[in-house]
Amino acid sequence: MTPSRSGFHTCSRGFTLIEMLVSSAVLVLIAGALGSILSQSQHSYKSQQSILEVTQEARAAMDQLCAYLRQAGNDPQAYMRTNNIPPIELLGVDHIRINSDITGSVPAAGGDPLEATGDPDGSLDNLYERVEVRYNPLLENLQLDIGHGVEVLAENLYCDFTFFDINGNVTAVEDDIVRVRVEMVAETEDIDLQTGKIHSITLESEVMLRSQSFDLFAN
Amino acid sequence: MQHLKDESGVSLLIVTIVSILMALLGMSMIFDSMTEVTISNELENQKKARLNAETGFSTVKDALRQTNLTAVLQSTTDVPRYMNYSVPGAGTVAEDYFLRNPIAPKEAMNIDFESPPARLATRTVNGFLTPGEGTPLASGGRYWAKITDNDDGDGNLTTDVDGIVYLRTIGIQRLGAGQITTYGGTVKNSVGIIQSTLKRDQTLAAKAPFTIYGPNAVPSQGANLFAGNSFNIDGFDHPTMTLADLQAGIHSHTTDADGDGFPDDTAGIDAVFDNAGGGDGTPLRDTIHGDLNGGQLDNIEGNQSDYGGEPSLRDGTDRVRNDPNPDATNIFNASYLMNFITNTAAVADVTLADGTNFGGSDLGTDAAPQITYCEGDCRLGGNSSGAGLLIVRGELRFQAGFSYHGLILVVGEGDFNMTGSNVGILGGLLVAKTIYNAGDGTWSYGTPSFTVAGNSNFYYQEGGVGLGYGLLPIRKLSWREVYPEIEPPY
Repeated sequence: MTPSRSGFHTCSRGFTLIEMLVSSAVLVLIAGALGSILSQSQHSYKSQQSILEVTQEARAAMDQLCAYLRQAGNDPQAYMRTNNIPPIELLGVDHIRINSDITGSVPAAGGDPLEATGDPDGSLDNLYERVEVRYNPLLENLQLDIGHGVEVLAENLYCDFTFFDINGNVTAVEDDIVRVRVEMVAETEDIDLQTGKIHSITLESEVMLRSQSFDLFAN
Repeated sequence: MQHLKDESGVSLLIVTIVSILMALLGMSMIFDSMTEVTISNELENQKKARLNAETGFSTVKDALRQTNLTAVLQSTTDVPRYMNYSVPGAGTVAEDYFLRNPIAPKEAMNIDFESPPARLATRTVNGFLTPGEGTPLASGGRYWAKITDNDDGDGNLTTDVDGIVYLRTIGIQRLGAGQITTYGGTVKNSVGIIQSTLKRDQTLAAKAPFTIYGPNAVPSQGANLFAGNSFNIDGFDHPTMTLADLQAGIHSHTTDADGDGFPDDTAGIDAVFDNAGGGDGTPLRDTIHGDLNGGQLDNIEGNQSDYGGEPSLRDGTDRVRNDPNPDATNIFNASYLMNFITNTAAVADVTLADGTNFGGSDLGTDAAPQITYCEGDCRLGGNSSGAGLLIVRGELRFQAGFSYHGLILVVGEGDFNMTGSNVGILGGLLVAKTIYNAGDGTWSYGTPSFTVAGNSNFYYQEGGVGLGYGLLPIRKLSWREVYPEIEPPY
């Protein structure tokens, strides 16, 4: 090594091409590794977020559906009994109508019977009294109509209803239904890139129809 | 390699940037998770609040057995008021609904009842069924319950006429320590409200100590319905008498128990049969009257009589038809009665087999009345006693000093024999023969049989009859959850 005139070592001449290539390669490797970690974290985050979203949506749908089912058949004015209307009508495959005289004795300010409130009034012409629930297998969504049009209650799910009589046997006889099992399988919309799978969660609820529960001394 | 020292800051920079990125990502995930946990907590608490309300409903509904609904409606409880809230105007529909709540929904949502603030005032509330501070539950929540009279036409919300009341329960669940909330630093309660319409069946609200249902009657034993002059059938009300008084032979009655200034609508013997075209209970009444000899007539006393005095004996069919109690005419339907009996058997405290010869212990007391169901013939004696509701499907024979306080139903064979010494009933007795029609599965009424002899005592007591049917589970006519959308706004 010969000292330069300025007193600096000749090594200050700069990096050689080899050094540059090696260091660049190392940097690329490090960046790649970091990127991979970040990417995996991002995927995992998105995946968890997606699972949480479908879980919350399915859970909210289940809660709402169970609330309607619990009150099915409420009929203190004997309107449903008189007119042979069952608490739950089986309209088709996974398509039901939940009947319940819930409200209506206090007219709404505008006179709209749909918006009437108060105690049951002996009719089923108010909101929440004829609740139609339908699972659409083509669109994979759960549709709800509480009295003012169909809305989508939850998407990307499979839903199934099973009906039981007082003896615990599965039944398709509307008047015999005292208990309903609702099963929902909700799926994430996108495939998990890490696993290549669609995540799913299963919710199951069993609801006793309070009006049909064993009540001695009912007429 | 001096130059490497100059480049060491690059590593620090890279590490710092990566750390910041990772920290941001981590924080974002933590915040998202916290939001999800918050939503889950509140969903869980909402469910718990509703279940707390349901717990309250079931508990209180069961506790309403053995109560007088009017007495409950007139009872008062001091309920603390912890915060100011608006109350709908007096006499408005909204006020009717608001007052069904045991506590104001706003208080239910906001107050920490485990450690409440200083009370602003105390409200006196009718029909409260829990302590003013609510009933705490193991879940950490609590519930309140209150009954309110329906509009039963008497214009009085503290007097029940038709046996129907509203029961409203409010359940709350407070977030636990460390649980985060969407209200930020303000902790609130989840609230569930359930309203049910309950009905006490009053089919058996008899108006006589001895009611016989049927087209006619025949003796159970011997040639006559009545024998001797020592029996006593007293159709006046005996509001203060107890089982001990009955056993001790102490009795006192009143002719105007309801205090309206007129004699009560009760008789010594009610002969009832729903047969409008055939004279209703008149043939039965006439048979009973024809069986009484001159010395027995004044052994049957009461407020009402078809004979202008004693015996206090009447065809009570029209009284049942016109009774303001809407359940009274259920007795005309034998199938209803038998369905009622069958259901009652399922909740009986004691079941006696056919042919039981009972004595030596008791079948309930005034303080702890019970439902006793006998599947067939039953002999009660041994100087023992009972209280509550007694149902006998075969022959019922009172003997050897047996005393009963409450309501007795002798149905099925409809055969009643009260010939022992020092035997007594305080309350009411119904005797009816029912016949099963295998063809259509219905029931109809036949001709009952009875014999009253010895020094048998029948003392009517409205409260005693109520002691019997009050043991029956109260019926649930309606059950619904209350949420703002279906409640008149207040």
